[in-house]
Amino acid sequence: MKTDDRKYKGRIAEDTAAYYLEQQGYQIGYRNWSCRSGELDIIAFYEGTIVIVEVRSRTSDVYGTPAESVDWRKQKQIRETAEVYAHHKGQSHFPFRYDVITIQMNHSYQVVELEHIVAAFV
Amino acid sequence: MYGKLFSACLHGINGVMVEVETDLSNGLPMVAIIGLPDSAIRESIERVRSAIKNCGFTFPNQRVTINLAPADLRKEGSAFDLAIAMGILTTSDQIVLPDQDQILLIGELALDGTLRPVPGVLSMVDTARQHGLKAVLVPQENATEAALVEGIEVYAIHHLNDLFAGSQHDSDTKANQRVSQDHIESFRMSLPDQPEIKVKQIHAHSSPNEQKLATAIDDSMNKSKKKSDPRKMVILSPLRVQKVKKEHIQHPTSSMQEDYGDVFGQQHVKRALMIAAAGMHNILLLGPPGTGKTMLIKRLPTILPVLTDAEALEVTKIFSVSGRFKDSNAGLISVRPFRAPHHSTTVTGLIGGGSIPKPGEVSLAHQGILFLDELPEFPRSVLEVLRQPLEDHQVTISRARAVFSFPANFLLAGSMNSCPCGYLGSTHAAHPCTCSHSQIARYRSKISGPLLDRIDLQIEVPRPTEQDWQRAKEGTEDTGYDSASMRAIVEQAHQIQLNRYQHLDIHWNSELSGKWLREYTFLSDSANQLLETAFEQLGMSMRARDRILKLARTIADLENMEQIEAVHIAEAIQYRQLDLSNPMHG
Repeated sequence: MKTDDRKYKGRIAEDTAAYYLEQQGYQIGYRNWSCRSGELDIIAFYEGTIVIVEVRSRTSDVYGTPAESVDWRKQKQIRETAEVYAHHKGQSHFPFRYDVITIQMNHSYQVVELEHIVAAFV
Repeated sequence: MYGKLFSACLHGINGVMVEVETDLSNGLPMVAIIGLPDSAIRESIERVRSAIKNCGFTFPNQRVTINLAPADLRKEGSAFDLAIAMGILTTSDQIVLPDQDQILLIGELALDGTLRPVPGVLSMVDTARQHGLKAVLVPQENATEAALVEGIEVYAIHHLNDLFAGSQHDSDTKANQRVSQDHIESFRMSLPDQPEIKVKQIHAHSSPNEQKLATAIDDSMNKSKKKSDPRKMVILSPLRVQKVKKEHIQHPTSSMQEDYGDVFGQQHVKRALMIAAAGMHNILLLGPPGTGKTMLIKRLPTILPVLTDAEALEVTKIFSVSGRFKDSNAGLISVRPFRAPHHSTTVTGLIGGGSIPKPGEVSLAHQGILFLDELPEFPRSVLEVLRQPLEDHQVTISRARAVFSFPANFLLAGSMNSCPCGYLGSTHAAHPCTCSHSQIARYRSKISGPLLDRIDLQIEVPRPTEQDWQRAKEGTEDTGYDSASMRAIVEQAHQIQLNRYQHLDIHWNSELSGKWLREYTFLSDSANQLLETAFEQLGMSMRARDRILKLARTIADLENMEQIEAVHIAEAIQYRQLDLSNPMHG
C-alpha cells in the first residue's frame, strides 16, 4: 500500500468518526491537533467533558484488531499530548476522557463498521 | 475533594498507623499513589479499580492522588486496599462512612470486591487501640484475630457490599452485586454518499450504576434523575464481631504425647533440664549417638510454665507478622514455641532479614525454645550470629531507611556428639572411640569459646549401663521425675521469679544483669568463697562468673531458698563441664 493510500484511508476513517460523533451530540473542537509530543486525532466536547478520541482503521483482520494497536506506548503518548493540549488551552480544570473509535473498511475504502469504545483507557 | 481514612502497616513486629489521604480533582485522568509505596501497593490501585466497578460503583475518571502518611516510612503489603477503596468512594461522594476518623481499615481486595486476609492484623489492631481509635474493620478471616485485642470494636466483612447490607438501598445493592459487563449498544447509521454502517458503542469501564446513567443520558428527558443523591450509607452495627470471653491460659498437657516418664535413667540430665526450664538457661547435651539427647530436649516443652498474658500477646504478634498464625479461634498462642531449624539453615533464616526484614527462627522461638540438633553441623557463621541475641535478647536489623528490632528471648537447647565418631567416653567395648586428638579438637572448635561461654548447662548424656537396664526390667527403677512433677517444681520456681521481679522489666533469672544481678543474688559466706576460688583456679571469664551466679539463683529457687548456698554454686559450676575441661584428657 502506498503512503498516499494510507493517508487517504486515515482521512476517510477520521471523517467518518467525526461525523459519527456529531450525530451523537458531540461538539468537535479540534481535528489533528498536534504538538511536539504527538497528534490527537479528534478533540470533542460532550456534557462538560473533554473527550480525546484516537481513531484507528483497518481493512483486514490479518494484523490484529485496531483496538489492540493502541498499546501502552500509544496510550502514554496520547496522555502526554493531552497534557500539553490541556496546558496550552488552559483547560486543565475540566474533566477528561479518552475514547477509541475503530473503523472497519472494505478494500474499496468503504466504511463497513464503526466501534466506539467509551473511556477506553485512563 | 479531599478525604482522610486510617490504615496501618507493619514495622518489625509492631503496627504503625498510616493516614490514607485521597484527593480528587478535575483534569487528565490519572492515579498517583505517593508516600513510599512498594510494588504491592502500587498495584493495589488496579485491584481497587476493579473492585469498585464490580461492586456497582464508579471509579472516578479524574485526577486521583492518594497519599500514605507518614511519607518517610517505607510501606509494604496489600493491607491498604480497603482503605484506598473506601477513601475513593467516600471522597467521590458515593458512600458515607460514619465516624470515619475513628475507624481503622485493613484488608486486601479481590477483583470482585471480596476481602482477603492479611498478616499482622493483631499488631495493627493493637496499635490502633493505643492510638485511641474506637473501631476496626477487617476481613472476615482476620476477625477472630482482631477480636483478641481488648478495648476496641471489631467489624468484619466478606465483601465490600456487606457494608451496605443494612442500608435502605439494600435491594439495589443486591441487584448490582457482581454484575459487571461491558455495556454494549449496537445500531445502524447512514453516512453521506456511502452505504449504511454498523455502529457499536462499548462502555469499557462502566459499572451497572454508570449504565443506568448512560441510558439516562440517552433519554435526555430524564437528565435530572442523575442529580438525585446516590450516596449509600455504611451501616456497621450488624457487622460487629462478638468477642470471646478470655479464659485463663491452661497448660495443654493433655494434648502432649511426650512425657519425661518415658525416659528411664538419665536423672542428672532431667535435673539439668528442669533447671534450664525454670530459669530459661541455655543447655547443651553431649553424648554418643542414640542415648536420647534429642528425645530429652523434645520433651522440654512439657515442663515449661505457661505463657503469661503479656508474653502470649507478644508471641502471637510475632507469629501473626510472619504469617504463621492460622488458628485464631483458639485465642492467643498459649504454648511456648519450640523451634527446631535444620542445620542447613542460613543466617537470614535464623536471625531474620530480607529487604523488608521478617523475623527469623530466634524470634519465632521468643519466650520458648530454639533447639539446634547436631550443633557442630551448623555452619560456624550461622552459630556465631547467635552470640548477640543470646546476650541482648533481641535482634536488631539495620537497613538504610529504618532499623527493625525483633524480640529474641529464647532458651537455646543444643545437642552434639563428643567427637566426630560419636563414641568418645563410651564404656562399651564394641564402640571404642576411633578419633585422633586433632580430630576431636577440630570438631569441638566448631563451637567457639564465646558461644560455649553463653551456654550455662553442658551435660553429658551417657549410654545407660547394664545395671540401669536391669533395674528397668525389674521395675525397681525409680523413674524419678515425670513431666507433671517436674512442671510443678518449675512453675513454683517461676512464680518466685515473677514475684521477685514484678517491679522490673524481666521475668527470668537468666535475664538478670549488672546492678539487679548483685541485688538479687544473696550469697552465703561459704558460697562466696567457693565462687572466688573457682573463678581464679578455673580461669573463668567475667561472663561465665555472672552466668554461674544466675544459674545458682535458679537452683536455689527450685528449693525455694532465698540465700544461695555453697551447694548451689557447686552444682552450677559443675554444669559447665565442656568449657572447663580439656577434651584431650577425655
